[in-house]
Amino acid sequence: MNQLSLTATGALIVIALLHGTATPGNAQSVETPHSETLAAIQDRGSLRCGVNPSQTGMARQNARGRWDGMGVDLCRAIAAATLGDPNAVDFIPVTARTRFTSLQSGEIDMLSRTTTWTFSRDTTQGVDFIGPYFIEVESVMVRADTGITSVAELDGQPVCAVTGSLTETVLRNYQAQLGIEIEFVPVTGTEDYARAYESGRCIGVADGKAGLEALRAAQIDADGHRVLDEQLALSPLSLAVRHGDDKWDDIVQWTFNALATAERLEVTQANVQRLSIESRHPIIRRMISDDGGSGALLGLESNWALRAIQAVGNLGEIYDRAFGPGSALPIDRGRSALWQDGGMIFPAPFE
Amino acid sequence: MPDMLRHFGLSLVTGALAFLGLSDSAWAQQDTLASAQERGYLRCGVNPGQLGMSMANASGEWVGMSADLCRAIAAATLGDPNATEFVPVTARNRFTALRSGQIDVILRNTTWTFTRDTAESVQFVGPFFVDEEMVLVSEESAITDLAMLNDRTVCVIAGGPSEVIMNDLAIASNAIINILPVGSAEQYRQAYLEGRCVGIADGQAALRALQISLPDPDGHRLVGGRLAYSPLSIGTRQGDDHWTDIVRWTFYVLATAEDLDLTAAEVGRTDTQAWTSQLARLNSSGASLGLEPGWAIRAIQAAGNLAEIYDRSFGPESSLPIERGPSALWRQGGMILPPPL
Repeated sequence: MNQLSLTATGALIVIALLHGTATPGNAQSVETPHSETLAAIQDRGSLRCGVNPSQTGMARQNARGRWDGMGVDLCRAIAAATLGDPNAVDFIPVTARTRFTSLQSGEIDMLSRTTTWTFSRDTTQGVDFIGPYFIEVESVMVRADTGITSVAELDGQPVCAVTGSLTETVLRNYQAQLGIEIEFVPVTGTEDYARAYESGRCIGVADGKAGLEALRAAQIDADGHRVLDEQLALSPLSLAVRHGDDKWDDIVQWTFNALATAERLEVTQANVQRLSIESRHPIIRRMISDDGGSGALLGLESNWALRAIQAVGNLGEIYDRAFGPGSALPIDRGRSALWQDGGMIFPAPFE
Repeated sequence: MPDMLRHFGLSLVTGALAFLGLSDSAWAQQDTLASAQERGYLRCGVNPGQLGMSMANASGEWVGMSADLCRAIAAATLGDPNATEFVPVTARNRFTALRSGQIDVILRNTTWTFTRDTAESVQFVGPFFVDEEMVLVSEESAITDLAMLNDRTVCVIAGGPSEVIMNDLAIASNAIINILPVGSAEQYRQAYLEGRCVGIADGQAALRALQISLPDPDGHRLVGGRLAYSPLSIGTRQGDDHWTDIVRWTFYVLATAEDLDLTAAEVGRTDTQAWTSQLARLNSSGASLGLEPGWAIRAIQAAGNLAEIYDRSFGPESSLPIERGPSALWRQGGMILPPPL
């Protein structure tokens, strides 16, 4: 240990010598700017989070009126990091149509509704996207007795896809690539496509896998239906904040990164308090220890990340509560896992 | 006349603020697209010389992945892939150069990290290359894995992620690694050749470029193995979200073009069904970014799609072949996921 401190001191001396009289880059850093959104939240004493009005696994009120789901837990993590209290959240149900207006008008501080990060939204809606936290896989479900196992076999067949949805666009692009022509049956929403599919008006339904699995689970003969293996496209479901407050963007971004990094380093809701004192792992220390120094850079208390993890657990725990094997809607994590585990979630490093 | 007035007014304001010592924040308020258009060219901060990323060749032309990305952004924003100025920046001065307005975008192999994101007033776009952290050692050192670095000296760039990663490695593995921080890649090369350090820690792209520049490339090897991944990203100034959007979506257009198998050679033709609707939408969506129609096609034509850009610098036929691995698109098992257009 002594030898180690000596080495560190040596390194500092070498830095000083090499830099000479030049100012090191860090000393010229601009001072941490002020976040107006953070100030407003602290004044108000609560975070206003826009969520789905009702979607199993993402955001839904249970019988006792308590909000559950992945979107909800992410709001609680941000509230814990910024206000020290995971329950200091007003959940504001927003529709697909009103969500961006709510964000722009300041009615909500952040958007945690199943929102795909797309080009037109990023550039025309005045928002910044953070994440993704869930990778929705665009797929097609068919009746098993049709014998269909690939999208190519749907050439000339009726398939339901919500008109104007991202799924429809994706399927149209995909059929063009395959050189086939699907007969698109226009439907207006999930209830509508469920009816059309059940009545046989379409032999396949295209949607995100989470939606299709929910539909399959609702069928009397769930095993008589199959979600095709082909992944037409990935929809990165992301959090969103208003343009123009980059400091707030950083806070939401790094709280999310802390939850994902905690999963990778096996820091859990149960052990985070102990690890914040005992762990010698440098990344864990930097993130959750009192002396880690990460809070100051965000304009938050030093235990911001500790409180977020304590509130809802790491990203894996959040996922499992909503979609794990014991949940009401089990969905294999697949692409929504950390990159190290074969998924697409890769938090930038805590360095 | 209005142009002149505006120009004059702007210079006056900039001058006054500079006089007051506020030039940093003045620039942060500025419209980067407008100033690049007024100037007529894009200023890209690049590595002064790293094979595969950015390096001036014998005829003075900048080549490499960063250089190509700079050309794509220039083509999208100014209509001309050659309307670029490559400004060499060091690891130490790049963020200052960005904040002061000396450059419009950082295209120097820069890892997106917590400290930089929060303390350096920079926004990150990408990653465009996911680098794997490794250590270069000589064959004669007989070092074959990281555990053998115990009690040895390793050179790193001062203040960079490799310094933190090596410190972390030492603590996590209960080893003593003597870390020698130096100011630049040129300096670690020098220190290594003089035997002041037994190894150099950096991303494999930088280390492989260094290795083939050594007198005896085969006398050296890289050791590592899932030590850390560094998402090399494009940096823009905080405070100009519009410009960040332009850079981000130019990058994602290149990634999407790869996903659609749309190459620089094919993009001008209009007889390929697969991408007609996407292209049409892209071109009409130029307005939302404040760009001229055709911006996306121009970006792809400038240097090709992301795979073409990667292969020119790091493909099997290049002078520095590096397997794409985590830098590939998600369909090929990599980390790059372009959001839907």
